[in-house]
Amino acid sequence: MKDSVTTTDGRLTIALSEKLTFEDHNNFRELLKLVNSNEHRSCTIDLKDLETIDSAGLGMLMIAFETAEKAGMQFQLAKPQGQVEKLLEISEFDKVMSIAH
Amino acid sequence: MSNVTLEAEKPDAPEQNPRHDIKIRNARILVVDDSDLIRELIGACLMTDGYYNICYAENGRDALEVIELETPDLIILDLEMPVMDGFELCKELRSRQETASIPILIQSGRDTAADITRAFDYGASDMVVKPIKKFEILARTKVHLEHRFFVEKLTDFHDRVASELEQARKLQLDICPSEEELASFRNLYGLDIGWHYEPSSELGGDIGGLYPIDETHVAFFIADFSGHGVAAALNTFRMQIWLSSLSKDYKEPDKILQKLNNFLNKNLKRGSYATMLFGCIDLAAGSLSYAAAGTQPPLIQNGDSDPQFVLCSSKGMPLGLRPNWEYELKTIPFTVDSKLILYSDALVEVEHLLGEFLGDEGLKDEVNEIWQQDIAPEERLPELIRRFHMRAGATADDDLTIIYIENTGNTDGP
Repeated sequence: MKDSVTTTDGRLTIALSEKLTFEDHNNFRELLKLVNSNEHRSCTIDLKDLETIDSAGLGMLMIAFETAEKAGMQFQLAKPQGQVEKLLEISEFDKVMSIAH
Repeated sequence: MSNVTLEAEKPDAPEQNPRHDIKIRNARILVVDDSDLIRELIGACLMTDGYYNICYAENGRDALEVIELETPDLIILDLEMPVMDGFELCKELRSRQETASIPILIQSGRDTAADITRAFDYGASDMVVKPIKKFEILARTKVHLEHRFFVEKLTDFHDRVASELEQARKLQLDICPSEEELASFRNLYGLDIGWHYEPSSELGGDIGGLYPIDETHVAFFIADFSGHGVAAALNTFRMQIWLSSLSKDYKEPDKILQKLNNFLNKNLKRGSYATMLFGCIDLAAGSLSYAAAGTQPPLIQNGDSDPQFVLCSSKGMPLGLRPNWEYELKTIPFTVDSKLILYSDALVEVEHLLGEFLGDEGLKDEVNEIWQQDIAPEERLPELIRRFHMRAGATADDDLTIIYIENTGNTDGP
């Protein structure tokens, strides 16, 4: 996994690329600290360049959502593609969080 | 032959780990030199540092005999000796499996680049040049013994874990239905069931099961815990226990998923989950009820209407992620000649064209192709598996489960 973080007007955007898998667990936890920092009003995880995700990765996205929910932040997944989009769909994540296509 | 210099004692060394130290001090060290004087001096040197388990040999041939009796932990070896020299002995020891990893510390007066290169080429671990300096030989002895014991410990640990994982894999295989059980479903219910489970090299989280309920109802499930390894594998065993406590709900798959979801939500680590499809076949009504939680979409071919397999919805929140989730119950026809294929994601997450996964649509096309081919019915599932292996090669890093259920309508029973 590669990530790039940008902040504009209190809006946090985390863009993920390549693969989100079990091995990214520690890196992802670091990113969650940003979500939990109380410095932002909203959080968008940009999945446009994320090629694949495994079951552990899907779990991490749910943890990110729950972290934002607890912190009272708006949360959105943006532009999932291919296998990532399919897995989010089959897992009904759209019934829990906002997914922008 | 060179002389040996015994230097003055050094100041106190820093404190060592006492347990570790004992192991090092008990090490068996073989000193090989044709000079009585050098052998004795090296022996005395080692004894000043607490080593006592020291044996001696006068040449390579002699050394082989000593090694035969008891394998040493370290050999301190001269190069120039009659009968069999140090180079020869090195080569011989490295060629035998039981002595290939013994550290060999060369002590020699031969210090040209060619000699040193040759010694290392023949398998020496390290080299000290004469005149022997006591603290140098003691320091190197210690380094090589420590290294040997660390590697030994790691190798033992690795072997133990590997053998335990192998046992766990066998246990996972054991919980799959046996051939006899599958045959009994054919006899009692007219259900032809094919079961294929292949654990990955790591342990995985796939599990499936079949439950006869009464004369006309059979329940089944397929599930996959997120992640890999021991935790996922152990959860497959827990799943069996949870499900057996829910036996009164087997005819209501949606209820089963709701209960399991809340249970897993309380018991699994945050972010961990299981995907699952639980189904119940009603043979009298010719129908199949199921509820799904994010598994791969099942392939169904309805005996009455369409000769093609189609993908059915398996959407649903994976179990354990959100509390109090409601799962939808779907009921579809499953009359005589209907067929159902359940599978884990390994089957479709395999490279099909360059850089492209087969995907569920690709699988559907493939299954339709195979099931319409003119081959014996019992050859179809093996053909699907054969094609998977052609794609995955030896690199399969996820469990593979395929469950095939066909309603033949014929029972052999009374």
